Amino acid sequence: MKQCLLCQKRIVENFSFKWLFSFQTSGIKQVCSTCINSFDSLKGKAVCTGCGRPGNYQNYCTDCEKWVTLGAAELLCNRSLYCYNRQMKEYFERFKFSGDYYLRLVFQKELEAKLKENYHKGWLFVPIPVSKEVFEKRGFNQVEGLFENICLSKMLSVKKISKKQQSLLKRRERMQAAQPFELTTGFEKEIKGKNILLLDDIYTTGRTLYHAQALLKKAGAKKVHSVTLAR
Amino acid sequence: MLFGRWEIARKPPLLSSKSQINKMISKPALIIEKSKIFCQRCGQKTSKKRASLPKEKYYCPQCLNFGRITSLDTLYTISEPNFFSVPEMILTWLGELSPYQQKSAQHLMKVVNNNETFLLWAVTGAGKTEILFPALAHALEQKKRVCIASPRIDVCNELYPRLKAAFSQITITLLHGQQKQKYQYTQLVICTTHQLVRFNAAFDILIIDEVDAFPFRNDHLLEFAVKTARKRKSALIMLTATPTKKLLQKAGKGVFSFDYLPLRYHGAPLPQPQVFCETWKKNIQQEKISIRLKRIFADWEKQGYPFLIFVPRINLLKPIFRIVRQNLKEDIKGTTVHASDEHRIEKIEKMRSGYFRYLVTTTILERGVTFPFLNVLVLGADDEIFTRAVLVQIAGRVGRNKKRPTGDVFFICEMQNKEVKEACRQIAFVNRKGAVLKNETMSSLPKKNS
Ligand SMILES: [Zn+2]
Ligand SMILES: [Zn+2]
Ligand SMILES: [Zn+2]
Repeated sequence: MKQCLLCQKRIVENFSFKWLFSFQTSGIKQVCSTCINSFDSLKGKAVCTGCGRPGNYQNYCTDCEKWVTLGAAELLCNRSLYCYNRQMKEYFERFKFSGDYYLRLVFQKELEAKLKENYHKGWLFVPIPVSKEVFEKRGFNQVEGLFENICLSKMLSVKKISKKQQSLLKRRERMQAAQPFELTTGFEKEIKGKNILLLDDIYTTGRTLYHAQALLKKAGAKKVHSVTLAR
Repeated sequence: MLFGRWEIARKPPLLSSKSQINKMISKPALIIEKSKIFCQRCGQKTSKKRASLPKEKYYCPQCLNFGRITSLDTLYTISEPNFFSVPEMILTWLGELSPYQQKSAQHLMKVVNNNETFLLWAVTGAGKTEILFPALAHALEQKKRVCIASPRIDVCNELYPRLKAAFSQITITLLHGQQKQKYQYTQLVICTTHQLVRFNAAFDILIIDEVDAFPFRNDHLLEFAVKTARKRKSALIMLTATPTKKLLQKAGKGVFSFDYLPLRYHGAPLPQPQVFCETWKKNIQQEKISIRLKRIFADWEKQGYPFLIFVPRINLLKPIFRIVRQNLKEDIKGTTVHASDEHRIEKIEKMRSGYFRYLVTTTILERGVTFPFLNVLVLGADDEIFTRAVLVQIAGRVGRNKKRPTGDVFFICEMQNKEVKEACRQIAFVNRKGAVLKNETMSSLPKKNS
């Protein structure tokens, strides 16, 4: 008996045409058709070329324009597979916060296919890291889990913040303004002139990814774009 | 906090007294075997593939809902000390048991004293909660720790205020997944059967209400939880209105002792369902209903009593409601309701107040929800969602009130299936038992399943 990873219901081997169709195009694995259909795929939809949000935009959405005025070297040209809807929120709750690491398999194949299709040659794949504390508590980095079978260059680390610094950074805005990442030692020379694709689970405001971009650009990266599971 | 209960941590919990520290028991949360991991909390094995974390660490996916445990964690507990102060007045319930209830209550007392495992088949409306009171009071007085568990959250929510009223001097903890109250060490616990996973040899008496809703077949986790939450020497009481075949078989084999309470509180039998076969689906598609149904509705209209129409699918609610409305006088109001209906509570309230005369519904509604003088009709009783147990529960909604202990129960189907037949058979069976009991008046209850 095969159970749906998300709703635990038995996956009925009743191959309706629609089911077969959705299964093949979505590539979501071990999940029943009801659950598959409640994710909101962005495949084939018009999106902002800067951040990948759905909608018809002539150039970029206003958020992306803001990143340009704030001094982003270039837009991330982010692409995401799915809209962040209720089903996706629930997925992340279970995968990240309840810590059901096995759920990484649900989207792995599809993410791999995306990289193969659009970022075939000449890209370094760089996952957004989690802090040491988060890794110890959670036991995994969700991004590395989602891209488990991809050759990743783990060149970013989360800066360690001392207790003293932490109290100085208490105000939320200052926290957000500060660069949270640093280069992992040993990678400094590998970055120059490279095209880098940042990988993350969710693109929310873009702040995290633009911080990573700024750091990598400073280290000499040529292009820094991004792909996320949800937008 | 640790008394009879697991705490999961990476470091030993801080305890105030030395004696407690000495009494603390600990064991690793997961045992890692060759290709599987074994979880010491929920007793389940999982393949390493399903349970793996990076860096050769593991977690148990089977009891994830209770907070994840990983191979880095340890389970800590202190064995149940029954550290309770018993109030002077334990049972504050002022009601009275019917002679039928008394008989069962006495039996339960014996079960508790002898630490037996026992199944009570009590028909819907028998008042099985009240039957527990004397045995519970007796056990609480002896400082025994008691848990009432049910597979269903709504049953727990319904039991909690009733037990709080009946044992008003005793603090009760209510535990289930949708409830945020923090765990407290109390003598009396009401929880979902899932929550038992968190306990270890805690209870002297464990009562499982609606045990038939218990997914014994697939859920080894719950079976394990029931076993480990009890003390070695303890009583297990299972209550049901619709026993499964498996339970009856076990009772027949003598795995546990067994008794019936086949009469309702007011002494009347369950209403026997009337089954009719017709092509109702085709009729609905053509926006019409059979002459039989027309007659039923006309009759109910005249009677003036409330009624429920059960349908198997949400998409049938609207079309059936439309047709029913067409067949009733205009001033008779009704509506549709389903399990995840936003206005569900409001609609039930309006049904109770008499604003609505009828509901077309897909759901059996909470156990606590009863309407006096009710009639019911199930359209598509042969649909897979209407299992034997559900059908018996539906029939059990009727005749709850002393003033009208009878009522109509109609099962309409395309073809009678096994579940429909078994539901009718089960009702007829308990009614026969009930008749015998009534005749015997006060002599001993029949003990074996025939
Ligand atoms: Zn599913
Ligand atoms: Zn944009
Ligand atoms: Zn477990």
